[in-house]
Formats: sequence, structure tokens, C-alpha cells
Amino acid sequence: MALLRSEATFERGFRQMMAQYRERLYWHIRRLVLVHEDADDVLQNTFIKIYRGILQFEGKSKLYTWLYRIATNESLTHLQNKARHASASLDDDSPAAGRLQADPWFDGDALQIRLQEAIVQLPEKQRIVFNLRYYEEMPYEEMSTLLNTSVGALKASFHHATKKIEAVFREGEGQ
Amino acid sequence: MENLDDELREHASLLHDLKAQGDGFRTPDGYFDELDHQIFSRLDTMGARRPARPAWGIQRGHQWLHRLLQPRVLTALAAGLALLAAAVWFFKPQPLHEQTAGLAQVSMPELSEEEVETYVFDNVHDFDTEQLAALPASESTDQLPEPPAANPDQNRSKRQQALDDLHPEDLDNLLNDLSDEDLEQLL
Repeated sequence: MALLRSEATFERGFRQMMAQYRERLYWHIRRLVLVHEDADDVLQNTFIKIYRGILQFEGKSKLYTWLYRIATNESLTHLQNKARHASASLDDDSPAAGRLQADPWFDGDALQIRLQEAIVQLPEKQRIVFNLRYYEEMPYEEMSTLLNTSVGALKASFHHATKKIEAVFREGEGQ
Repeated sequence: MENLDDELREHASLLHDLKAQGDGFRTPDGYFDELDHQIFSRLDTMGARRPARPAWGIQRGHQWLHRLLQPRVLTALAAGLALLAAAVWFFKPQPLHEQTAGLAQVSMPELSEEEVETYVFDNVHDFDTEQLAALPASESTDQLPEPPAANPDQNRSKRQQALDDLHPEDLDNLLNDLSDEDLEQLL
């Protein structure tokens, strides 16, 4: 952060910050938007927003928390735009599997595709909580700061999400 | 802190097993290394990239110069320098020959010996014999009269003699000019 405060060292500081957080932010975004091409687009938008707004960051929260919020908002905006576009063009209502299969940077099997489909069906916030806990193994306390939600509510949310996902799997086995 | 592995094993065994298999996502080779370049290219295209600034030292130098050239700062600086110069001039120790310049002027050739003697007797209490002794030999012997005798009786008789030699009118003028204290000292 010290490098970012001086104009002479701003770019060096920004590159260092990107190097430190780009992978974590990428995977956070990727699990929300699923496809690499979309994740790349959203990640670039995220860093451009960070570049333009980093001097307004007041340090009231951790830098990482601030970056995560921007990345999450960008991902959700992207998904909303995509959903609006899909409904307008009358695409199929279960695009996750198709999009994953079309992505050259996804090589998961049928179970992993089904898992992603189940996650996509979760409500927005529950989906974020599930991803942060299940994939990124973020402690509830840190998640609480990030999402402005109590630890108890987050635990309940994750518990509900796991039950819903397992229910989807059981339905699939029954068919 | 709650352990995720335990949490999944307890509540969602299927998800626990799936987690071990990974998620199937991957990225192109060298993707993260190229990311910086792509972002800065986009910033260039948008015209949002910050212009390169001069090195820290040069930039700081420019900032200092800019601040220094503000009229308020210049005025304060000039006032400070003037005060400093005045202080140096005021407290500078003067050489001894400058301090005794006044004494040397008393012995100007146009003064009569009598006038010089009267002046010296009237101002004998102002003389610093150490200063006189410290004068260069040429100044002290050629231009200044003999220092007053150390014997007070001899001084008193000389003063009496000088008073006797005075014209009554001059004596009146002298007495009028003298303060009570001087008069008491003289008598």
C-alpha cells in the first residue's frame, strides 16, 4: 500500500498487489461465472476498477476484503447481464452444463458438472457462502467481515447449501 | 475455528468425497503472467493509465522548489535572513582599536594641552586603564596624554590648579553645566 501512495511508485505497487491477489481473485470469480473466458473478462474489469479506485480505499477494512467485494460485485453484475441476455434470446434455462462442456479450460467429469449445476441453482448469497467455504476454505470469521453477516447466519447458510446440493445429487440418482 | 473437513464429513459426506477429486477448472499456460500486460493494455486503450512520473528525488526537488517560490514563503525567508544578519552584526565582537577610536579622537592636534587635560580630569572615572594599556605603543604614547598619576593628592592639587587657572566667566559656565553629583565629586 505504501508504494501505491506515491505517484512515482504507483504502478510498481499496483503490479505487486496484482501479483499477490490475482490468483485468489481469479478462482473466486471463476467459481461464480464458471467459464474461463468470462472469468478473465471479469477479473480484468475488477483490476481496472481497483486501479481507478485504490486511492479512495481508506483502509477501514483489510485490502483483501475490499478486493473481494469488488470481484464479487463484478461477478454478480456479469451473471445478471448474462441472465438478462439469455432470457431475451430464449436460450435454454440450464446453461451451466453446456457452458462448462464448451469451455476448453474445464476438464471435469460428469459428477463435477453436476456439482456445478447444483451450485448454480443456489440463491446468490448462499452460492457465494458455499464457494468461499467449500473451495476457498475461508474461515467463518473472515467471511463474516467480507459479507457483513454474522458467523451463525453463515454457518446456517453453508449447512443449508450442502443439504440442497446433496438433495440434487440424490434426485439425479433416483432418475 | 471449525475444520471444514470435519464439518463436511459430519453433514455432507458426498461433498466431502467430491472435494478430493478437485473441481475440473484450469487456466491456459502462463495466463497469470500475461494478465498484467493485458490489464495495462486495456488501461492504455481507455486512457486511464497514470502517466509516468519523474524519479522520487527529482520530483521531491520540484515540489520543494515550487513551495519555496510561494510569495509568502519568500517573504518569510527574507525576513528571517535579515534578522539573522542583524543578529550577527549586533553580536559580532569589535576589535580593540575600534573600541578606542573615540579616545584617539580626543587627542586631535588642534586641541590645546589644557583642553585635553581638563577633558581627561573631568572624565577620569570613565577611563579603563586596561584598555589604555592594551593600545598599540604608537597610539598610546604618541597620541594620548600621560595617564593620570596614581597619587590621589597629586590629582586633587592638579584639579585645584586647573580651577584656579580658569577665567571666572568660564568657571561660571562650567559650574552651570555640571550636575550636582559632578560638582560634589569635583569638590
